[in-house]
Amino acid sequence: MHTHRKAWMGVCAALLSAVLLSGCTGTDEKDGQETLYLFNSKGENAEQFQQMCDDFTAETGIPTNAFSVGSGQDAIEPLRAQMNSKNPPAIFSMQGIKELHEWKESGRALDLTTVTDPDFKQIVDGIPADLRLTTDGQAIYGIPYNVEGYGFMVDSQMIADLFGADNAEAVIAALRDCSYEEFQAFCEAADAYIEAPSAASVALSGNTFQFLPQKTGRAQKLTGVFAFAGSEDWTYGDHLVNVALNAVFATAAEANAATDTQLDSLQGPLTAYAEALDFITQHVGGLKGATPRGSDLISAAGFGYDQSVQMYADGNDIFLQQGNWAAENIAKVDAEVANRSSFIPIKLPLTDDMIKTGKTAAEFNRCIPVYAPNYYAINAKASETAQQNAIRFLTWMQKPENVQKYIVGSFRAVPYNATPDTELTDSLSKSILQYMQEGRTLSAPYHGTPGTWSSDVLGRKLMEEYLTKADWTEADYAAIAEYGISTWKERKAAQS
Amino acid sequence: MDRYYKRWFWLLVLPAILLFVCIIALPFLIGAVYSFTSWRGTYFAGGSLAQSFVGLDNYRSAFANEQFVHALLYTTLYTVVAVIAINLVALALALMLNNIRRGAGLFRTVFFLPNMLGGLAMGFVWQFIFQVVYTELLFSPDGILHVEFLRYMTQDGTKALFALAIMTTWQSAGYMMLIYIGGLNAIPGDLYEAAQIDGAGPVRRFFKITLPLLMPSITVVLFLTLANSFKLLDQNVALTDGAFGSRLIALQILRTTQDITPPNYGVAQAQAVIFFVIVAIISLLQVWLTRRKEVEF
Repeated sequence: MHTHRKAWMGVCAALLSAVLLSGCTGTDEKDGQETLYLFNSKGENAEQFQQMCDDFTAETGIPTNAFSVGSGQDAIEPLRAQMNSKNPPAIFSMQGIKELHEWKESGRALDLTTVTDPDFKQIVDGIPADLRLTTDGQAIYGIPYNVEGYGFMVDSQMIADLFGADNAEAVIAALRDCSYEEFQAFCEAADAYIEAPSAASVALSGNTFQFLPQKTGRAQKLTGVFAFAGSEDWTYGDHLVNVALNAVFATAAEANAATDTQLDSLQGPLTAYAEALDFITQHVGGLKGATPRGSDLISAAGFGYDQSVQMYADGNDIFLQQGNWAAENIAKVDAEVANRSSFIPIKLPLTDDMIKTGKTAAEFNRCIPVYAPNYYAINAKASETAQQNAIRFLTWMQKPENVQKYIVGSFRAVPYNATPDTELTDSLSKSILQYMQEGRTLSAPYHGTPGTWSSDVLGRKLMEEYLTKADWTEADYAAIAEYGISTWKERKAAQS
Repeated sequence: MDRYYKRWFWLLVLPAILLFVCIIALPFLIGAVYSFTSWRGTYFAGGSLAQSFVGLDNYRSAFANEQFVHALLYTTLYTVVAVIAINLVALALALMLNNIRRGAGLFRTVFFLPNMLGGLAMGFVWQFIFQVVYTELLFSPDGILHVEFLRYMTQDGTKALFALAIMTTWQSAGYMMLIYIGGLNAIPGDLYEAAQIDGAGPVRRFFKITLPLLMPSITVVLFLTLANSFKLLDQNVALTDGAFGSRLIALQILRTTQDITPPNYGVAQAQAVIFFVIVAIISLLQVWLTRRKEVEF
């Protein structure tokens, strides 16, 4: 018995050592075909992505091996690990220009304009200029996953309950087109109405609308004008400031190559941004009523992302600054609200001279940011066969029937090349498509800012020092703008 | 049996050695080498390993980084508070449980349970406790006892330090308590009887018998709490995410790779090496000091 135990211990030790020494061995070939490795950064659609890969394999015979990160997990670290592995992905995802430098410098990002395949070339050439992943305007390094957009969401039923069902559509249309000053007056009137309802009038885009004399329906639940996620610095750090950055930079690439002169010209737009944030945070409604700036406003327990979505969906607030990615979360609270919601642009008190991209302030305030959050890139260090398979996969994926089936149908996303014929499923996506078709879009220059400047530097500063401060002055607006510019310059210098 | 172990010693320890070399030693050595290069996570900026050698630049950058220096000081302060709090609470719990006869097992289990929770989950649970239970229910002007310091504890650097310490004490005290209970059980009862006969009171017995004979356990617990406090990460991410200057050193190292693009893993690695050296020196000093106080009986 004793001898057996000793023998077993020896065998186990030898086996363990053998396993450790051998490492993992595998093959990257199946039935003589090289496996196409793919890295998917959207863990939320892992299952659907796998299904798409399986369908591709069934149709073409090219074996695929897809790796998806966990839902909600940061993708860049797993991607770096995959790139260092024995079988690096031939198709990988890139979160815009921020990540492009890394993969370009390492020689892994293939310039897609060098591909000669005519079908693929057509796809690359067809990517709209403002959605191209490029540093110089010539080389293109990615095919957009999809597009996302954001603005102030508004529920048509809420507007109907405030102004009457017959006026709802006209009020929303007027809100889309109105100026900052009109929007400000509308919000103040709405705030007064929440406090004490009366048949007051508001003027929007040349029309006058009258509130219903008494609160009805969803309006009875209102506690404030804006649902606000004060503890999420990316909402005002990344997204709100991005609107202001559009005044100087038309694309992320431009922001990425910002000169000191351009950065200095952000003083006006960033001051306008601070003024708008001041206004928004003076009209926030929480579960317990109107919530002034202070410690409660940045508490994750009361003003986090989930709570802001909940408050909007429950009808505690008229507007929520979020993007179409929030549609599913809103639907979980109230599917009807998600079905009725659309976007109105985030307005800033800009003047024409502050805008350097050719738009007027009026045009600017009629646009919403629409951009590609992620791109499919091809690994230039993958084998020639793997690159060819990757090209074939992306070409197959961009066939109109596959765009409809997978990107719209399975991933519930808005294709970057959506046409009026694209059958989108949710109301917010349809709203984005409408803005795209009307050419009323802004870009995502915040993707081109250094590192985590917009959220961790500017957003964090606002959260820690300003959202807890009751009154902001003109000097505060200027200080916020100056801080934003100086820290951008510092980060830029550290990177170079 | 002895002959068997002597004969097959190397074969039997080989798995452990291989694991240690592959998972600890090699990555550490590679990391130390990379701290002198411009490693970007998947490639060396400038070409090969040799071409990307930057000497002590990464170490200079680390010390020139205000956030790194602040995180280092903040972590040291947090460690002092957490080590004292965890040890005092763990020892108090151990002494109490050592003196009760009924239900000791149940209490041991209950006190140990928080240790089963993961760091992130714990951080989010305590975020709710600090932001709702402390701020609105217990310590608000309308609460049980108005203590302003205990409200909004995640919104101020000093308060956040104590918030982190409260949370980690809740988490670790039960585990450390078990080590102390083991140490207390190893102290012979006749020493206490003799001391009692000689007229020594409870306080004197504690300082003259319990504490000196508990030193081996104190050495272990101090070492564990020191190391755990210095490398605290998940709880920091979940509870404060480093806001209001509450970034601990592990979070600082993690965020260094995100602060600029392309990521500068060389600097992050240099920060990690500095961190390792500091923790190693403090831990060795602590073990040496407490070992000197240990008595044999």
